Amino acid sequence: MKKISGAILAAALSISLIGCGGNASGSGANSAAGASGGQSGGAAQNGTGAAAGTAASGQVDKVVVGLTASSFDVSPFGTNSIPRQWLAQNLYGSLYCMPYYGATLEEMEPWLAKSIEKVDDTTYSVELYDYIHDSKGNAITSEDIVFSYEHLFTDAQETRINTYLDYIEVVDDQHMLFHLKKYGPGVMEFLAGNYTLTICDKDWFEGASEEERMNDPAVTGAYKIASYTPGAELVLEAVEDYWQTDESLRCSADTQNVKTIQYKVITENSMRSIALENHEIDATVVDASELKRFYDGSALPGWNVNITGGVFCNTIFVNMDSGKSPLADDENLRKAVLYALDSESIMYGGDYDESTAEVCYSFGTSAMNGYQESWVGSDYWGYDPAKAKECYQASGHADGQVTIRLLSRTSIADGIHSVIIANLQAAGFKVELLSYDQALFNSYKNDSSQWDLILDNKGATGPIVSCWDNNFNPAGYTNGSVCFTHDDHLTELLTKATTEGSTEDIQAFHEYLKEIACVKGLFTTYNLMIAQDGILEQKVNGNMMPRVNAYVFAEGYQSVGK
Amino acid sequence: MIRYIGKRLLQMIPILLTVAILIFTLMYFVPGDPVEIMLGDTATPEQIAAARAKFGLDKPYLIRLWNYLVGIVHLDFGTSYLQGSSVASELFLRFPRTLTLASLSILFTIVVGIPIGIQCAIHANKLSDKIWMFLTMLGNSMPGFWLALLLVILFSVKLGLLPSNGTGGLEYYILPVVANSIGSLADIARQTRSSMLEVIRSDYVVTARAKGLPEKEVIWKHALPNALIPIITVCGSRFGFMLGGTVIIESVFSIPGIGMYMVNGINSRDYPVVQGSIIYIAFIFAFIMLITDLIYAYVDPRIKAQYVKSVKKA
Repeated sequence: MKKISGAILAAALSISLIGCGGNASGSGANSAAGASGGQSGGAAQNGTGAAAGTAASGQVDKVVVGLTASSFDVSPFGTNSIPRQWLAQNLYGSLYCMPYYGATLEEMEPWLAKSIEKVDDTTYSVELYDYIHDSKGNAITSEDIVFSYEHLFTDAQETRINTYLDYIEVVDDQHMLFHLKKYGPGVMEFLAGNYTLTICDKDWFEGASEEERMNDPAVTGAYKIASYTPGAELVLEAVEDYWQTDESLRCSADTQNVKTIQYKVITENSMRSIALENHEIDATVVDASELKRFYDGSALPGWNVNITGGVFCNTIFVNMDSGKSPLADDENLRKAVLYALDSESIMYGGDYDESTAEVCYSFGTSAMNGYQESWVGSDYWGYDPAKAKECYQASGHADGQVTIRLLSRTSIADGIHSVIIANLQAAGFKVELLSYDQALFNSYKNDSSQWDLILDNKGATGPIVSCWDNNFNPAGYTNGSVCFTHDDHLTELLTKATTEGSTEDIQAFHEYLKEIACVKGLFTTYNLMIAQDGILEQKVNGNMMPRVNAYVFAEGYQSVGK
Repeated sequence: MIRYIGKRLLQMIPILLTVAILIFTLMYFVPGDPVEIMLGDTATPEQIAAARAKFGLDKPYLIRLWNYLVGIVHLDFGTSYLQGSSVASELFLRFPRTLTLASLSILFTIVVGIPIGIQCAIHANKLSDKIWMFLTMLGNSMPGFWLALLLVILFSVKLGLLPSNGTGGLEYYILPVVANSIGSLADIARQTRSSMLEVIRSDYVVTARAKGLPEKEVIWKHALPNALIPIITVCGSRFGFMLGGTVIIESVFSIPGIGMYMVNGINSRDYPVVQGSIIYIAFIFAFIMLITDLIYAYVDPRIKAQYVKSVKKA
């Protein structure tokens, strides 16, 4: 008995020592990964590649990719979700394909539509290929496009269709006229090929059961569902009789560089890294805290790392609803807040650094179209504690007299909250943190009586003016805007920036946002994509998410996936 | 006995109905709108209102409650707002995985925990007893998440013996089962030890020993059956909890079970998912408690006699 007890105790100690003591990134498993060290990187660069190996000329058999979330719907008009942003365009075609984030209509690649021509500001003529069919052989015509756009709004809750599109006029089976409600940068780009837009055959959809829609849909994209286990994995197979037989007319989204794509759900961040190291998956995305296992300024041997620019801006909004917040009626207090916030320290507080995030110099990120290079390093509410203190005192309040309610989410790192609170306290404010889950946060953020400052994460589909329009267009809010501004001049400048989109208009809006001190973009985090080094290039789609079908592989690449 | 089982099954109906009304009411009053989460930042107030109407969220409380209860009677728990799939079929799909994980975990717990408890009781206050009690305390206080990661690092990353995540053959369940069982195992070992200590000192055990019965027979035939009732209670409630879904283990090992489904539903205020999952858990728990009571009757004829009497009186 004593011997058994001793052996078990020793085993328990060994587990602890081995488990805690090892260097995960330098394990034997890694070195077995093969060949030369992949290298790449380049913070905020679109698409990077490893130098190892020669690019494959043909299709590889399989790739296993770790998905970050388990709840998603792959039916034609399913609700948007993170996994859907990765794989919707594997399954369903759109009129045009966005080859990279922020591409303009001229830069977009034809997919189901042969051409999209501007008739006037709010009318576009669309011509479809006349030989499109889905994976079940149904021909796709103009009527299916109209049906799909209607269902995208009613079923998939893609609200921007309703905001942008007035109606689609069918000319014949292959020709349509898109009549828009508004125009400007990003509008037709969205309607032509946003990642949320999916085209599906009307007759098939209406005749299909829920089971078929979920597990065996008729797809217009280059891949079809081979098997789907909700919450666990989704296996896609290249459609053999894909409608676009002319290889020269293929776009980034319907390239078939892989025969079988196995998306495997691994929601826990560190487990995705372990699965990569353990050769259970070929590629995935990781959080900043895991990057050092694969990257130390350049990719570590065995890995290909692709770091792409962030499309979401972590932002502080100031409540501008007069009478509801002490900040709304006192410009000095607002200035004190914005000068007090040190974007760089807040970024570090979230466990990010220069290789995983960057400071924003406007309400938007450098990846967005229209973000001016001249803004970088400019005086954009630069951290100045002395000035913050001065502004606070100019407001006539004693230290600690003004209490600020900071609304945030529990999913935000505590370190970020700590730095923001410390910054504001140093300026003289008293801070009350209201940190809620996403659902509660959403409920309170539109109520001006609930907060004085809000920390939120805001993005756009490409142009920075879309980001501004989403948040400052009074048409989208019952109470002015995202932070309850009621400012006609702001709206006027916004209309000019979103319709004309000239550099001057963008600059004017940016300057005016600064002037009224209602918002400060803090920082954006990069998308971190990691793959085995036999994957030479990890492409991204128009939403900066992995475009697995277009990954470039080394000659003879064999998936490590088990 | 069959009448007793029938009576207990009938008793479940008001329990489940009460749970359904309670959870519906709680979800109704909890702030947080699923439509706002679904539509995101770009939705206008009109679009939000239209979506609320589409999902019936604009109807008064009583009408929504009535519709919900009518659905439950037809075993229709509604459709997930976010995934668009039927909650009942999703629960049905995920149940085998949770059942496999829970069954293997409780089996491991019983097979390892009870013998440890017996050994500790037999050698009470000796060194081996102290070491085991220390280890069980360690097991009880060790967070499942941390233990799971240690096991993965050792057995998957370092030794490459077992898969680190996912579902498939039995090998995929080894690490999750061990990580899931350690806390329960420690509990059951301690419970067994304390029950056995009480029984071992009884007169009939002393008599059995005095008659010259071998020690093994004394322990396994005479002492253990009389010490089993509290152990069965702990096992039953532990199994019930495990069947309700072990969120952390499912999350670490990417097992798409009931726990993960429910937590995702709570976070996104997906009312049908949360309500359906909780009713499932209530049913499973009540059912496991019924099984536990039946096992009481199996191991102790006195309890069986009580059940029969109570049914006759009723």
